[in-house]
Amino acid sequence: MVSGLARLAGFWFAALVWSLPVSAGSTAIVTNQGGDSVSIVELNKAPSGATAAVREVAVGRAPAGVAIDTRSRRAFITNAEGRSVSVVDIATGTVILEREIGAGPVGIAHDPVQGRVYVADWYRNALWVLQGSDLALVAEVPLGKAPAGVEVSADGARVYVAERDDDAVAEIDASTLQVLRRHAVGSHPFGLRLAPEGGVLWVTNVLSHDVSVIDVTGGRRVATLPVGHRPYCIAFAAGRAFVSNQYGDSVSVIDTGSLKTLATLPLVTYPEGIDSDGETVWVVSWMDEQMVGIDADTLKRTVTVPLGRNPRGFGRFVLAE
Amino acid sequence: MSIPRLIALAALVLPGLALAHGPTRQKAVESVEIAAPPAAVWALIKDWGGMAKWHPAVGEVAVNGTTERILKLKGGGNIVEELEAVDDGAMMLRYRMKDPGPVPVNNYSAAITVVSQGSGSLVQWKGAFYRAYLNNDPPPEQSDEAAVKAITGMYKSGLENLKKVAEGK
Repeated sequence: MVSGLARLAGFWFAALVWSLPVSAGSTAIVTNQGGDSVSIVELNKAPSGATAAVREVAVGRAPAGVAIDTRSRRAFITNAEGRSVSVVDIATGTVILEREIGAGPVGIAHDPVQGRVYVADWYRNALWVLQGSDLALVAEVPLGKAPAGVEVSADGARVYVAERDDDAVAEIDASTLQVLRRHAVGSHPFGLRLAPEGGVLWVTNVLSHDVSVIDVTGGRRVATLPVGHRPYCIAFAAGRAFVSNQYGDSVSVIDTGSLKTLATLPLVTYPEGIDSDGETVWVVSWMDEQMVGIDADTLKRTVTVPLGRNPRGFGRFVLAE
Repeated sequence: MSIPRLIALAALVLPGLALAHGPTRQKAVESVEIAAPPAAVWALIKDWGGMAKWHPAVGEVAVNGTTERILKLKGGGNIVEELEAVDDGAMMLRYRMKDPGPVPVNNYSAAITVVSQGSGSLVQWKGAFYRAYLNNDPPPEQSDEAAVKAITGMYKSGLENLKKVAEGK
């Protein structure tokens, strides 16, 4: 916000102050799997449209997953081929810690209550439980085949992991670190996200081209919604779910109340990571190596930000202000 | 039968295995400028059974039904591909490989687009794929590098000859 203001002077400064929304700037941290780096994108809103400042920071080999601790303002990055987790200080853009872990860390989520980091290991079929402060190993939880996306409930009590090759989602009790139950989903679940109001888990099924909506409190599947070709992940904003369809080159917009598809936005080639700051939905285009902002209300494209090589942004990659 | 061929065969027989790749997808993007009208270039691209007319590595094409084609390669081996979308308005064709044959890739998909540029055309070929080796620590001939090299070579030689054919040279 400060740098955005600094570019404007005099009369325009006064005009800007009046028109600026309270939430002026968010930060996105996107993994560039082909560039062994992350792009740290500071998003500033100006009356003339959103702008962005981008820094590229080297991390480990082939980074894919990302999670953010909003309090310490640190990003946790899985380096799939480096077989490690890197911790990045977002403000300074420095890697403050890297720890080798397992055989194929990909999916990652941060638990804001206990400060833990949960890392799914694709090859070892396990979930690593790490202490967020120093990446000390707390436990290893054996899982089904090819665990991918990870999500933690807002109270930190439950961890959900997509077991891709078992067509299931494991629900783990964070206190005992036991798998409580498994939810049957579609074919090859990959990304998953809890709806903001909690209790409802959305899961993308890559090979059945649909999304499973699960009432995790009642333990039943509410709906299976067709989306575009090869859905990857989900974000929520303005009472809507936004699903990135990798092979569909599109984003499906679904009303979370009626579960009706409102629009299919043909915006992005090979969209993968998707996240939101509540107002704007950010979609990573793997093929075109850029991030596209979509206004959650109007569904208009607001800004395009260049990223590094083969970007993924798998996880919650936006730090909302 | 070698281990890689067995894996490729298993991937065909068991659809679930076709996606059992490692976590790092690769890409190839190549383009060529052609001194011919976009509509004429697009006509060559969208002809699903006509790839042998412009790609120098393809000897013959057999079309099954409306969406499957078998590319018989001059160097030996076949590639089986599935047409996913043809968009005349955007002059864009999308397809994927059902069986990559001798090409060291997995889960390959691609799009070819033609756009107007100056008085001629710009053709762009974009592919996304994984290496042939399905686990960590691949042998060199099934590595990420081998996959990117093979697809980049396929695109470059194809686009170079497409230019010649379209320009009538």
